[in-house]
Amino acid sequence: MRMRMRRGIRWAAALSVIALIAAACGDDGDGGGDGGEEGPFTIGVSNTLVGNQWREQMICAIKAQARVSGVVDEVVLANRDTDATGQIADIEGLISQGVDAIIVNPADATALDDVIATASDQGITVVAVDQAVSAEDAYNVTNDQVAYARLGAEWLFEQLGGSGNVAYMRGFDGHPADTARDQGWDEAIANYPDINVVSEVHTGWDPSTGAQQALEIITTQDVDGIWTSGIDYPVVEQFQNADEPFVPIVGADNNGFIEQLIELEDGGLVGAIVTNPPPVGGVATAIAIDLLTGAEDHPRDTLLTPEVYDNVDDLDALEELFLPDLPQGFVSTMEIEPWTTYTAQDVLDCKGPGEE
Amino acid sequence: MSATTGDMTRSVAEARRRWLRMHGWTIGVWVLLAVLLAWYATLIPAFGSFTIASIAKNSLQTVYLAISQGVVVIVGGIDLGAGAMMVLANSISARLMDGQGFGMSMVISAAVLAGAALLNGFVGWIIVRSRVPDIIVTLATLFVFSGVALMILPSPGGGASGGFRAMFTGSAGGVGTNYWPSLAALVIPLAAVSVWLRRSPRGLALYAVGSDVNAAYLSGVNTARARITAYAIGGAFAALAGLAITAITANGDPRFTNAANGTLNSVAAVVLGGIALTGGVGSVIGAVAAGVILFILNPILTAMSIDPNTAQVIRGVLIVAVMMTAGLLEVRRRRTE
Amino acid sequence: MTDEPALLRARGIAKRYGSVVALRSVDLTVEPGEIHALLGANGAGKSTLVKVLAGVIRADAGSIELSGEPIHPRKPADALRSGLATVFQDPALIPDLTIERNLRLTGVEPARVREGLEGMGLGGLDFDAIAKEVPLPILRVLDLARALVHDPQLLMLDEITAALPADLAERVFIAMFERRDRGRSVLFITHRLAEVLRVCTRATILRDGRDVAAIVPGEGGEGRLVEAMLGEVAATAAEASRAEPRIAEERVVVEARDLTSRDYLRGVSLRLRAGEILGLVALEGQGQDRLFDVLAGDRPSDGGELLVGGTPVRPRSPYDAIARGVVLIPSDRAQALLPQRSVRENLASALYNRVGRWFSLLRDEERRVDGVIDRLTIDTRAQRQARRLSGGNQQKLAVGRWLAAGFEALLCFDPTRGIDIHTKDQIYGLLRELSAEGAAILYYTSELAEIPLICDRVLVMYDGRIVHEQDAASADEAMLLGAAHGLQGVGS
Repeated sequence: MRMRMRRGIRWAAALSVIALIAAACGDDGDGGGDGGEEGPFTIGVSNTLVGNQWREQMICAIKAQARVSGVVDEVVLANRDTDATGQIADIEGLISQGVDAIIVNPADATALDDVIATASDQGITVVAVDQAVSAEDAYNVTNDQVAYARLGAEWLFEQLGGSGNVAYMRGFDGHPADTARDQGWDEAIANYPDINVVSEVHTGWDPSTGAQQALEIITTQDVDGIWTSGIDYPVVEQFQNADEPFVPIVGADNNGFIEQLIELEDGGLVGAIVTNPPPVGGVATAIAIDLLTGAEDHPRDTLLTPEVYDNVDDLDALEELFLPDLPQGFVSTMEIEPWTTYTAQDVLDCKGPGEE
Repeated sequence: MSATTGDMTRSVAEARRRWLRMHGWTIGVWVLLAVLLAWYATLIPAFGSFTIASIAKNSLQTVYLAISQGVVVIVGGIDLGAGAMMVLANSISARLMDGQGFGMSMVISAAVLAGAALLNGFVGWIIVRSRVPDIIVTLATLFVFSGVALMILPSPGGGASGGFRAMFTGSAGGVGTNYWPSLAALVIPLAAVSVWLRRSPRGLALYAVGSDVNAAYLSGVNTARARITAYAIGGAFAALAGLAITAITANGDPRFTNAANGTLNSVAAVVLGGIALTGGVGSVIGAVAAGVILFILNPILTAMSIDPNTAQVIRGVLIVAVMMTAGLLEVRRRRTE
Repeated sequence: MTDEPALLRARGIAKRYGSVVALRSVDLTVEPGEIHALLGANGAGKSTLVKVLAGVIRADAGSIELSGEPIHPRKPADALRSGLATVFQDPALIPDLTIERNLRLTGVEPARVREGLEGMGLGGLDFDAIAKEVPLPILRVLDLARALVHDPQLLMLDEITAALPADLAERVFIAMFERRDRGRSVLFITHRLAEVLRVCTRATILRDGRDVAAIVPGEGGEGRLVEAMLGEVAATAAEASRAEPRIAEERVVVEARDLTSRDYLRGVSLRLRAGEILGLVALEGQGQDRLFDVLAGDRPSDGGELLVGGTPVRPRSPYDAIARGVVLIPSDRAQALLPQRSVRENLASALYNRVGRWFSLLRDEERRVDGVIDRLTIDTRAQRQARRLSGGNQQKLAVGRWLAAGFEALLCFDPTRGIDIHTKDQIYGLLRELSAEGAAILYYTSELAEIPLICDRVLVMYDGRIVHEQDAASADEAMLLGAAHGLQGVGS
């Protein structure tokens, strides 16, 4: 028995020796870079939702922008399905790896404050993308979700001449972006007293859920227009399935929806896209690199305002956005002027610096 | 005939061989952890106190879950509700500790731990009395506890005091370079539970029931009490995992995926750590190393720029590879004996 | 006897499991300072009685008094507190724990157990050994030493000597004598009558769940003990249905040459010929289980040779043995059957493993299954679930599977255990028919009366060896029992 205890202690001792040796070997590594360096830089990325088309495009935009910048030699991806706890661990791992900047799509707006502060203390530039974080030291680069909903809603209400019945097909209940969009929706509808919301549902941003809900709305309600939080092309398909006349629809810059707007224009489909571009990742990368090299200073918050294109006045713009070879769910907006400097092909290749 | 008795007398060589056989898996999994740590050190530029603190702190969740599941599996059960108990404890503590000082946080922690022990002990009592299989009852608790967590904290939020956060993480902000508190938070409960399991009659009763419930009964072991105790301890450790999350993030996160992932990781750690799912065999010390391994794989795979989908495959292959190696060694040993 | 109250007085103990009656009504009295034997054939209810006294199971009826005080042990710990310690047939040691932890578990000081073991010559036992790796005889002695630490008023030993080598058995007797001399008592269950004659002062004999006699072993010798155990010689329709003596074919289907397996088989040789039913008789724990395991391919032997059809074989699994036509009918029907599947599926199950039967059974085999159903006269529809059949019909089904699949040698391990007399006759008839068609059948039975009814020859196994062989027709139960108890001077 006593022998066993002693062995256990010896093992613990061996482990701490390994740790100490490793610590001794590693301590002469360089820290993070402060503004005004020349590079090359390493950029870390922390993302907590895997297998989502939008997030994949966001990551590809980060890689593409890093590649064309010429001053980044590696993009380190901490990319897995996890929660705030796991994201803190992932960011700490990126800090351990000695990255110069971290681009983070936060799982929680406040839980990352301390780890971001720690990164900043070590001279690492942190840029939050898609959703803002509360950490003081972080830069936020986000699409303006309030404006996203307001602009689309206003277009719809104008189409209806300021009065009529509408269906409000929201996103994921409780998600920060859904909450922000709801705020924009409220702002818009306040100015249109004759608009009636006859149906309000949460699609969970799931195409098949949205399709089912749409079919129900089309066949049981008398609707004059539909606003969707990005689940758009399945709704149009349900009009076709039910053989009902189209009503004006607002969606996002999904490839499939753009195709429908172009093709079905003759068939009476009227609709508008509101951009919610994943290249926001490329913008964050460009900003991070500017901050690292000291080329340009940036404010803490960069809010990208969405654009609205309909198939009444902007058909040319839609045709330009449409990507015939790509799937329906692909988000068509690839570049955000003036931030991104890559080409659309760079994003489709999805190769970071040094990747073949 | 006297040869049979002669075989069983003490011989140093035999004792050493047997010691190795009994503890081989535990040693093996710790060696694997040491190798992975050393490898990770070569992958990153600076393996210093920040990294040690990060690993120690971020492993706490899986380690506590591994102990929680380990104790229950040793007694011959399985607790699918462990992850949900963790989420429940995380949600309750983050909600109650928000805006409270260190003293109050300690009171809340104690209450959460005691409550979790009682609640899961009650689950054990249901299993013993109803004779419904463990896996079914705890599948139900997985859903029930998760639901209650959502009722208490409908969306992520809450907070924790700096002093409380420092207890698990070494700093009031949850991130830092002081790794001693995290290591202590890892080692002290582990030492307590493993000494109790191996030395006290009550602890040995858990092994006895898991190994052979009939023989345990005939030996005068109170088998019902042993199983209920195991579930109570398991509940307390799952709650400890929840408190660790509260300390690390100063946040409560009631989502079901956290509960499900927690349970799956706890079972993976137990299997990898050498605790037989049939009960009665293995040690929580091995499961703890496995818990750290399951965590450390993430930064290693990130540092190696491995695609997350591949990373999942690697995790699965690692578990199967370890199990197969152990199985083959056992078969070889039996053949030669 | 004296006016002092008896140490233990059990009255009218009864216990049934579902429809099976284990104990009808048993009275047992143990006086202070005696070694009392509890005897009976297999299934007479000895172990059940011990479990009731030890608090493992609760009797349906009856009362227990210890030194005049009524006791109601509800669990083993209760019995121990009252002064009743038990060494069960299966050692109550946790297989995955070391000896030391096993002792700590029960709150026994290891040093005191070691003292006890020293007295029995096992003082050097390594307490860090894992229980499942310690040989069974040592575990039993260890279990005894652990029980002795409590210094119980009554020590119950359930077949403790069955697995013990002679030297260890001797040490156990010395420990028993020592207790008797100190005024403590021992309740001793054994199959070895020689031991009873040597160490016991009185004996209670159970038969069919009743106590049928209380005997002083010294008076009348083993003859009386055997007679009391067997009852009035089982007057079944024995003579009427007794097998015609037949000349077996010369072809040897299965031959064992000096098979050994750890302590269980110490060199077993036998030849099983085509067209004969070879009986095997042994008390519990003489190695018969292991012999069947080895023949059926469930375990490899350590040494010796096994020949099937004249070819040396080393089956690695039952699958190998079955491929060579050697098949097992276990006593536990549940082991052989798919209880939730229909009769038809059970019959066809043995065909599943044939190459080329991946899709469905061929017409020819459907017909074979039909034929077997007719032949077995299972009085029920073939669609019925196997578990709903009576024990006897289940056993017919177990044999029937191999009829459908075909076989060379049938290894029957106590196939009529717990089966009523009528179905027994049907099984006898079926087996005799099969052997007449050339099948070789090895037939182990715990019921000696069956031997002359069904077998052609009979072997007696004792302590891992075949100790006796004779014609079944001339086999006398007393003679077989004597040989099975390892008594000298009975062989041919």
